[in-house]
Amino acid sequence: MTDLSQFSDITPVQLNQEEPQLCQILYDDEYKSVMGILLALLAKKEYSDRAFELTQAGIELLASHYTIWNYRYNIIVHLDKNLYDELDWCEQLALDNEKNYQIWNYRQLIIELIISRETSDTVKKFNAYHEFPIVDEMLSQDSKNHHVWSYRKWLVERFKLYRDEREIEFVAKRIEYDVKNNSAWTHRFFIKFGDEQVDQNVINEEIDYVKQKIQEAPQNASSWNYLIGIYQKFKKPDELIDLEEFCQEFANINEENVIKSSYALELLGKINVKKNNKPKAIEIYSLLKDIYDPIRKNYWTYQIKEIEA
Amino acid sequence: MDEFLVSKHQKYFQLCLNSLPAKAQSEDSNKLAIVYFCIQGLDLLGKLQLTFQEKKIYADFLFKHMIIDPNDEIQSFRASQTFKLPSSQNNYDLPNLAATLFALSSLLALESDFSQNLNRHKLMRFVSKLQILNGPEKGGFKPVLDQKGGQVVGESDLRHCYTALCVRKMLKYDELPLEERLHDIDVKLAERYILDRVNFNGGLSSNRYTESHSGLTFCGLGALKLLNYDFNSNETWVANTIRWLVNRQVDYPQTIEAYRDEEYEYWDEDDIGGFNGRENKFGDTCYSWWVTASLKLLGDQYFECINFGAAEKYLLSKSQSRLMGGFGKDSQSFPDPLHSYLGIAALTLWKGRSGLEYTGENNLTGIDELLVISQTSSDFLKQMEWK
Repeated sequence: MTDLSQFSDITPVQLNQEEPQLCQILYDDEYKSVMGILLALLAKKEYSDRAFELTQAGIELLASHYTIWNYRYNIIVHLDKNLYDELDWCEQLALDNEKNYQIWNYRQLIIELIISRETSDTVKKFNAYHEFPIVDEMLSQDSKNHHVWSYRKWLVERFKLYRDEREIEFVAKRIEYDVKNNSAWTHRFFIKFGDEQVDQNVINEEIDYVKQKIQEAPQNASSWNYLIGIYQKFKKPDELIDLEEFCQEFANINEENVIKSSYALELLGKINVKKNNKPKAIEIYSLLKDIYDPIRKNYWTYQIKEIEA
Repeated sequence: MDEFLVSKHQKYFQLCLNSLPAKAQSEDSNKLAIVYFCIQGLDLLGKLQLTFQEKKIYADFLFKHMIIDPNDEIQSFRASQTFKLPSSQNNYDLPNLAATLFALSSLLALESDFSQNLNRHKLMRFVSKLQILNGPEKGGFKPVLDQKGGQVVGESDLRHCYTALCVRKMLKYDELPLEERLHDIDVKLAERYILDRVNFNGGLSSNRYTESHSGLTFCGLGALKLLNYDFNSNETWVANTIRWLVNRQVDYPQTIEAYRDEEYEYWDEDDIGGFNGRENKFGDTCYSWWVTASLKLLGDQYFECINFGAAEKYLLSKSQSRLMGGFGKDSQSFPDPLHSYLGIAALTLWKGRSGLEYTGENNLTGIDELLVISQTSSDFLKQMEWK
């Protein structure tokens, strides 16, 4: 908790006293005093250590307010604060409040500032691996945190980590830990195929990899979308037919109708459309409509009409 | 039979419109958003019954959020009066794009003809200054403007792109002859920016190759629609997007082996009929809106692919708050203005589609799914004339 007595020379701004008001927030005393002083400091653009300290209290109360972050950033620049200390501060704040989303954009700006100040004489250049522990820690709290994953993606792009061994191992572990983690699959697609050059070997390896993951958990939209995504991006439309046998492993409609995956069944339907085997495709979409994916019955009816048209 | 608790929802919005508890402090920077949810929410219920005098008081309150530019070059709004600073020192009183949209949307429900009070060229100068013209984010928009050209904390993503285009639409800037648009945005760059964010699975995301998300998908599709993009041009991505959106409706049919035998922490039977924001995630009231409105934007034939009956059942029996009125984000949560508004918006969009009538359904008026405002607000906008 910030010691507010150091601001005895500041007259806090009285918050939002105008009448009448809509959606008037009944501020508590802490908010009134912290924000009141902060506004007074903002008005006179005070760049000081005490203001720096107060921004933390402000951010803890109102993380979504861009102005406080801007102010803190400007203080850092004016007072020439240690930027690695600032990264440590960010880290603690993120761990204490995982819903604090603005922090990741701010952290990027601090890192850019560090890099912009590096010269050929700088002994310790910024290393992207510095960021790995905090990302791991955040994902251990919430393995699908959209902002943390976006941040990780920025790191890869910014520091060209596409084929970095630690990056590849990181995403493999995330999928191993939870094969249905769609964030991890998305990140994998990015590091494997987001770069300009994609090796044909990588495409084949990834097809083998995702097939194996589908074996582990056949009813998983994330892995099926990954497989279909690769085919759409790198293969000719008719090559999808190559997957027929693979799909039948999880959706054997010829025998006892054991359906381990509605996604396999769907793809089998699509393959039959490609093969121009309309009756079979309609039969499959009807199974989805009536038995295996009934909530989407209108969608399957629409697909059937498309075939018949 | 399920019941839509009209008078409870009305009381909930009226209560919020009056005052909010201290825990809402953390949303102070979204204050005009809350006002918008409450005013538009009441309008969807047909219960925004204000006298002429009350409407004027409400509108005056909104106009007070305008930021006075000492050079009188731009017009914009701030998110909350709490952040108002003396105008000569205004570089910590940042013009806010979202607040500008929420102010305009709310004014429409109040039938306040803002063409009388605002200068659309100055507003568009603000909006166009937010557009990023270089680098990987080229074409996108920043959420706030630092007029001094300083470093601004705040990501650019599809939300801001959609917001910018909504403001432009509400100012009817797109209807002006090209030569009369003094400060327009670069529409080609904006379109490229959005299309670059279509993912391999068909969803759209905050950035290239980040995870597809239903809310951002709505923003991207809405922004494209506002740019008159033709979704029927038979692009592969549109079919992928439809498939991805339709698959957001949650179900765990027992005919599939895994749903009988396996457990997964994100599979919750309470979510059935609802919608999620991404694959293998929980359902949430707001996605009932984002997903189905997205399909509506793409075309009626795709909108019809939704299971309206199951969708209504989820909202009415799971996320509607029987005690307080309003809607929570899921069956476990307290109501809040955002989820209440979007829950009601979704029911309004689906009105009459399921064939299953529920008590209170007839109270729902109509909605403009592109601008996410009531039909009455949309009609008012249509007849507004800029001098």
